[in-house]
Amino acid sequence: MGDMKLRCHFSIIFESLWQFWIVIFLMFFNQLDAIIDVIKSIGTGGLRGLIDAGGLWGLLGVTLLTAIILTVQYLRWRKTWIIIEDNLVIIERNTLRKYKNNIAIENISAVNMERNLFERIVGTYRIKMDTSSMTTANETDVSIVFREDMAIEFRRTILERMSVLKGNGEKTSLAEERQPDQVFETTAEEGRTVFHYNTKDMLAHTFYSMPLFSLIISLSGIAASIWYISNVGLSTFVQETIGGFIAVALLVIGSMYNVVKRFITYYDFTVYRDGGDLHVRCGLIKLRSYTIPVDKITALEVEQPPFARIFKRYSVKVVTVGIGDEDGESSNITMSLTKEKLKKQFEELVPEYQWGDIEAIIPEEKGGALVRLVQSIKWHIITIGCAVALVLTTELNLWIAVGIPLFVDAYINLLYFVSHKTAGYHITDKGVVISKGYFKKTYTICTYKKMQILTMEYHPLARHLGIGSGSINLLNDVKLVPYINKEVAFKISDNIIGGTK
Amino acid sequence: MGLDSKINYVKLEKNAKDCMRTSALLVLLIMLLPGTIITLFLSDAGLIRNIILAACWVLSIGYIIIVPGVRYERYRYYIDEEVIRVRQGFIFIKEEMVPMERLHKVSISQGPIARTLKLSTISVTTAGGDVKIKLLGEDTANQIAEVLKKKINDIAIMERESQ
Repeated sequence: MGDMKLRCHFSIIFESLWQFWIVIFLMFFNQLDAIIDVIKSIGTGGLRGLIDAGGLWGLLGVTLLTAIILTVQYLRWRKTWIIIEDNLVIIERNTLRKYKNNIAIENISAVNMERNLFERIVGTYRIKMDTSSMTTANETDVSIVFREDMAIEFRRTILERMSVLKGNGEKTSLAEERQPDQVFETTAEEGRTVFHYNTKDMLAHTFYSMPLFSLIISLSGIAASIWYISNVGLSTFVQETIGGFIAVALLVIGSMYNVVKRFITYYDFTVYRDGGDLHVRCGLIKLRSYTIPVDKITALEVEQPPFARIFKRYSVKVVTVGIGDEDGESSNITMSLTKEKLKKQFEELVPEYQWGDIEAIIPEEKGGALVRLVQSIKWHIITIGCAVALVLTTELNLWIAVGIPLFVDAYINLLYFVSHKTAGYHITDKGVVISKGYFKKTYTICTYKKMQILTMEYHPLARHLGIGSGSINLLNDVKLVPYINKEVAFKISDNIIGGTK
Repeated sequence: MGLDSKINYVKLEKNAKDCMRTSALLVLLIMLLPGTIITLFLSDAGLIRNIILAACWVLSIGYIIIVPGVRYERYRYYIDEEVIRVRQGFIFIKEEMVPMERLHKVSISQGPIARTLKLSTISVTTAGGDVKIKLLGEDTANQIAEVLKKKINDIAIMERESQ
């Protein structure tokens, strides 16, 4: 495969314009009355009326601004080149601010493809590339838009060169790739195990991964509104409490969207393993296709949100630089599964992590509960202080003045209790499995080779009990260690040193 | 306590305690002096005001006498062929462990007080964060930094050869 020198698809010029038009739309919406007057003035006074009302200047301003933005975007597009040269990806921009970004292909950790509605209509794909660099760990390093065939060709070239650099040779399966939708079908035909989740699975996953708070807010908002409307009537409700109605409606819509967005994001979730890479495709409105090199995974996270804990379902995420960096990005490699299915998919997708048996987790040391009990004393003191202050300085009912701080204190103590109940660990020769969380339980599976720093902290009481808690610094994340015996901490540190050899 | 029963940690040099104490003294003076002056000039004289001010000064002096001393006694580090360990704290003890093979960068720094007392701090950086060995004697810090730099070079050469 030869070197390449490409420009982004020209639609990128218009794609970056929509944010500007949203601002204009919001400004217009805000000045709706004035705009209606301007339109009326056209009817009564013609063009003269429009000029007198100031509407023409507004229209000219918007047109001029649009033209300026279009020109800037056009120049930026015209003068930006994406070059693949030997083992480098070069992004070169020769606008007023000259810019050249050289990225070594061996440092690329992910080459993902995605398309939103606009990109679907114009027939383009967005390619997002991430490097293993910590400095840009929270952002996408390169985001470019190409025509469909060019995007596929570009991605294939990068993946092939990555594969050659890793010593795996060029992959035949990638050579057959046409577009993310087709490659999964082709792969399935080739006899590889492709895990595909149908609509029923997706609905189940949406339910199991539902955030408890969003659900509570949605339900209470709806229930409160129904109760209020049934008491005062819809018209009185809308007329008298319009502000409250909008606030509640926005809250409920936001919470419901939080629930529904999982279904939209993960719709048609499909995953398979090809050599050293995991290939994932999902999305209803925005179709995403991403490749995760298994050797770039720093840890696996098996998640159990509250409903999944009740119904014993598990979903797996990867912790890696480059995937899941931005808002709305996910790093799931499975949807909600039963324990048996989870084991099977683990075996197929990430056999390297099969040692991480979440069933072998042992609860954190009992002393951990005692330490948390002592830690909670500060909250009791704050609670007493708040209650006294409320009673003395406000005219609140005594029950409310004392009840609110007590309720908050009880909730904080509940969090201490559940965090102790979910905390656990399992130490093996290859790595550790750590469980933590409050209502949502997360198991982290991490090999010693990926651990950078181990920090243990000893509370005075914990020191007395011979236990401590701490954290493990990974490449792009920090994982908390529950209360463990100091000998166990020593064993982990020994294994980390051993893991480096 | 902690992991020290199995490891021969090294204690900091004596002037590290002076550095800790001077730093604490300066910080408290910067915070306390303006506070005291403002209180004396802006609020009415009274027993409660004087008691609060006196309590602040007594607590601060107590802090300067006790805390740096305890911190100095508890501060330990350990370096061998495979690992760097640092233990520190006052009420809560923190132990950090960095495998040598993870090191990416070593740097030495000196604050103004440390410079007058000929002390340096070494920062060892990994891909997942960094750890500091504070208030080492200048010579010791330079020696350690040299050893660590050599170690980083050796690791880089080994990695290149293995590729």
